[in-house]
Amino acid sequence: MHLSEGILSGPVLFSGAALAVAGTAVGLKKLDYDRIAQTGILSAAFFVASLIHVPIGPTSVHLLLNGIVGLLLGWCAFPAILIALLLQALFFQFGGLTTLGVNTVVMALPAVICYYLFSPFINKNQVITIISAYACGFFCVFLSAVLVGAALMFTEKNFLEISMMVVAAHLPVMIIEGFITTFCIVFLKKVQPSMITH
Amino acid sequence: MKKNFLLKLNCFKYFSSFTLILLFVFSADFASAHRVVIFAWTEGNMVFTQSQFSDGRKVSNGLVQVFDFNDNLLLKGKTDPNGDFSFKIPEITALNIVLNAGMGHQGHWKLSEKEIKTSMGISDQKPAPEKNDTRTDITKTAQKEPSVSLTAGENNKNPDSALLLDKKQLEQIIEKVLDKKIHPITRMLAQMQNKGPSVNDIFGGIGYILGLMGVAAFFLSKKKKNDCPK
Repeated sequence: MHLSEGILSGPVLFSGAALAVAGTAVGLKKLDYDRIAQTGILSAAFFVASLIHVPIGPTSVHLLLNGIVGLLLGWCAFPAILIALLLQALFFQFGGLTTLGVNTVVMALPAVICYYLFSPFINKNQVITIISAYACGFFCVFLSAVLVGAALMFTEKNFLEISMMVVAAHLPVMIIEGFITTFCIVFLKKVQPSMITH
Repeated sequence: MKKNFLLKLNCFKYFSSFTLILLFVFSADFASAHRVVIFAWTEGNMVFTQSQFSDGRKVSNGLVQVFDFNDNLLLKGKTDPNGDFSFKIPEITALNIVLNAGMGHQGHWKLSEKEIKTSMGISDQKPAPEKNDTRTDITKTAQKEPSVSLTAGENNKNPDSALLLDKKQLEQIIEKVLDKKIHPITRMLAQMQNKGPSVNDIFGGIGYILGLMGVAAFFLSKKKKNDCPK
């Protein structure tokens, strides 16, 4: 889901960068001493997750883990994802430095949206927790895929077609991410409930 | 006592399942396929390209577009299931070959004008003198230029039996043979171009994140200390 360099037009890159800066600023403002370790660990998890890929048709997709990052970090997902993406661009040549802003927004904005949508339900009873955690993992990747479609709209011209294609390609990832998010949330709720109550 | 034991058992259960998941995740293919690379080389008047994802998987049915120096589209085509696409050099100009593997995956490769000219046997300097038909001229050229003449027998004494090749012809023959020999090596190099992230990269990245975490903790702890009333 990393957009390569040289595909997007200037205005898209610029607005992506502006949104990423704004999101990161809010995230850093909300980042307090007690949550640094959590943010760092999740950033590292996000950094590694992209290396686990699922080959689909002519292209291939990989795990994102932005659902769980968003659910646990809220706005702090922005700096966590920005750092992870920057290191991925430098070390693995995924995405690129010019598309860093757009890629950050593509992955972190859905994370924040999902945080607001699903975090109120995480501390409810077991069934609701499982359903909302699964929905969070699933929906977050879905939103990211739609955002990729929106970013590519200006070059590929057909928003619906490209979005459908990206969403379809990421369907297996959505299902897997749903399970991973559910597993992590249920696990954390048992062993470290303080991590999901803030 | 029993409750304590059950709690421990529960913890162990979760811990082991978590470890199992981690093992599963890490045993998965470490190489990522989230970068596409196109590699192009010239042979004679043809350009060969090979496209693959960073895990070595070939890009099949990827769109390859060839642009000239001024970004004018010269030709386009699709890669075959082996990730190969070849075309005849459309123009003697620098070529920018762009591969689009869909969903925002793009790679490109540039071929310089010099590379193309060399491959097509066009030199930048004054063109080599035209091949002459008369025997005397050939002998003259052979004497004037450092061209190579292969002789069957002693060519000075018996010029009729001499098999003469001028420099250009000889170059063409050598190029043809070399192309044939070098082709598999170029292909191998193309495959080697594409290395997935190494373990060093992965742990390097994690190290950076932990380092940044430390820096943030340092500054925030200072702030926290300052905020606390003494």
